[in-house]
Amino acid sequence: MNLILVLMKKELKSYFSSPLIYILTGLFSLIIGWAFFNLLVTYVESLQNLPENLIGSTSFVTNVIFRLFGNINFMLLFLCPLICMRSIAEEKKQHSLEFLLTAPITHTQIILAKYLTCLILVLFVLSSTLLFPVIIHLAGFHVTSYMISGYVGVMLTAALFCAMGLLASSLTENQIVAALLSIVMMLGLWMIAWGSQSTNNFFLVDLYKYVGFIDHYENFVRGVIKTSDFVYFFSGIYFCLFCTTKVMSSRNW
Amino acid sequence: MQSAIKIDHLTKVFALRTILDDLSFEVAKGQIHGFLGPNGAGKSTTMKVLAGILAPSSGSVEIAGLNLDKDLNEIKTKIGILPENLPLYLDMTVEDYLNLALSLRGMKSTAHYQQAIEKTGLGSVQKRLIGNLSKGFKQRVGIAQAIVFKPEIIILDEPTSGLDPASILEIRHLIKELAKDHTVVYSSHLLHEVALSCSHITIIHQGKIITSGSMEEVTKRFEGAKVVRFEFSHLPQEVGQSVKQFNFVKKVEMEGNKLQLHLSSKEEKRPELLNYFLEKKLNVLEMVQERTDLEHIFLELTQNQGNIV
Repeated sequence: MNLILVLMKKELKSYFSSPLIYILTGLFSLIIGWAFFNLLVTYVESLQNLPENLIGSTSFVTNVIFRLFGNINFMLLFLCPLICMRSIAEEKKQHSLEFLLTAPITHTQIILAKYLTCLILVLFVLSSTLLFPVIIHLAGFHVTSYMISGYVGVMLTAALFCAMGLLASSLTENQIVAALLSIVMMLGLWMIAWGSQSTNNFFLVDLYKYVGFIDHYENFVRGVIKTSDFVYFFSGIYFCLFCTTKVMSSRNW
Repeated sequence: MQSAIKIDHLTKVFALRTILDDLSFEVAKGQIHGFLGPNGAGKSTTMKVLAGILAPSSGSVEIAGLNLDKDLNEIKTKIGILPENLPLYLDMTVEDYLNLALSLRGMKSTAHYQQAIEKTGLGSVQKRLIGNLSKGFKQRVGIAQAIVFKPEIIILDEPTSGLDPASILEIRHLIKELAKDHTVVYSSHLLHEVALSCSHITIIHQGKIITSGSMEEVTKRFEGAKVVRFEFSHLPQEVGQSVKQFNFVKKVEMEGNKLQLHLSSKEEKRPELLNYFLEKKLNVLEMVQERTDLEHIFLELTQNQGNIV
């Protein structure tokens, strides 16, 4: 555990002393802030245009909260690969991985340290959105439970995407290739649920929906917290980290 | 002789290609052991196996009395390696980097850090980013990370590669200094480097050991045909040719008053040849016997595949 912390400290120092994380945080805040502002404006405009007797049917949760978390989720598709891409690929390219491999630290410890570092960085970038619940609360909408479950969903998605990003980074020495590879993997996991619309086979429909992460994520956004969703995310994270360990060990094959 | 490293029938296969083929050799404690071979011979692979970066396909490796398979983590605290490609974090300062090397081994000793800095002469650049240092200093940082935690054995894979002559001299001096406290295994394809620094050598070619032993032993073992050069005040053509009557003279080369004889015998034949020329009333101005140096041995061995000892 101590070695994981030592390595995490080094990794975090390295990331926070490079401009990448600040640029990503700035860009992410700008885009997601703009999206949130537009969602609010659209919601208020829709309220103003509706007859008074129909105002109650326009839900703030459906029109703002669901869409906001949908946007954050979409942004994670690019944010996680950009943060994770250099993690192992750069070490391989610079040959600095040998510095770690000659130290008494296991492959699992190295991967866990890098994974937790990436996750912390993604959460750091996401922390800029914590202003939104405050604004929503001050505006008089009391949707705290939706916000909490939504953020749990975002964190689990970020954790799964980081694991996938790390796996992609371990497969190549090129950061760009690693980023593209992880985007493709994440899009695949996103789009696999669409397959459920192209079949009448109940088993396949259930399978597509279970393997794709969208349904699991949406449960959290809708305020539904199910054990099966936690199992899905944690098993996905474990699988990706396990594969990353195997890829690291493949140097010996 | 106490072994620092004992390699027994080590084989490494990568993607069905045998990189190391049944290597066996020992390095005694306190030696500077040269590991010689042309490019692609398997030197770096051997070094990586010793450092625990790569696992052997078969065979056993003992380091400081510990087995590589069973005690890998403990071995990693006893062995410091400078790989061929420097394993540096260019965005770290020298100080942070060396302290990281210590922390990863559960150590936090300013004394160890200071000693490594002093030995490698990095005092003036310890607060600077590694990426901003010259190649010579980067090489020193690479050596410093290998010695900072005071390992028993230091492995240096081509430590002088790409350096200017002044830096090579400094690194050579540093290696000799390190040998006072550590066992040093030093890989190179620069033969004169190894000859200058090492007491023992192992020559490897295409993954196989060609020879291993002390410098004297190896030189003696492979001492082959001698070449003796003479210079006379005057050398008649017929005398030069008549020297072929000696059955140990393999080849005669004449150029003006100079004569070069290639001898097949390993025994001393110079007095016999000198007497012959004096009997012929020739004035011998100079007689030189070429030494069989490491370079000759190396070239002979790596070109002659069958000559494995």
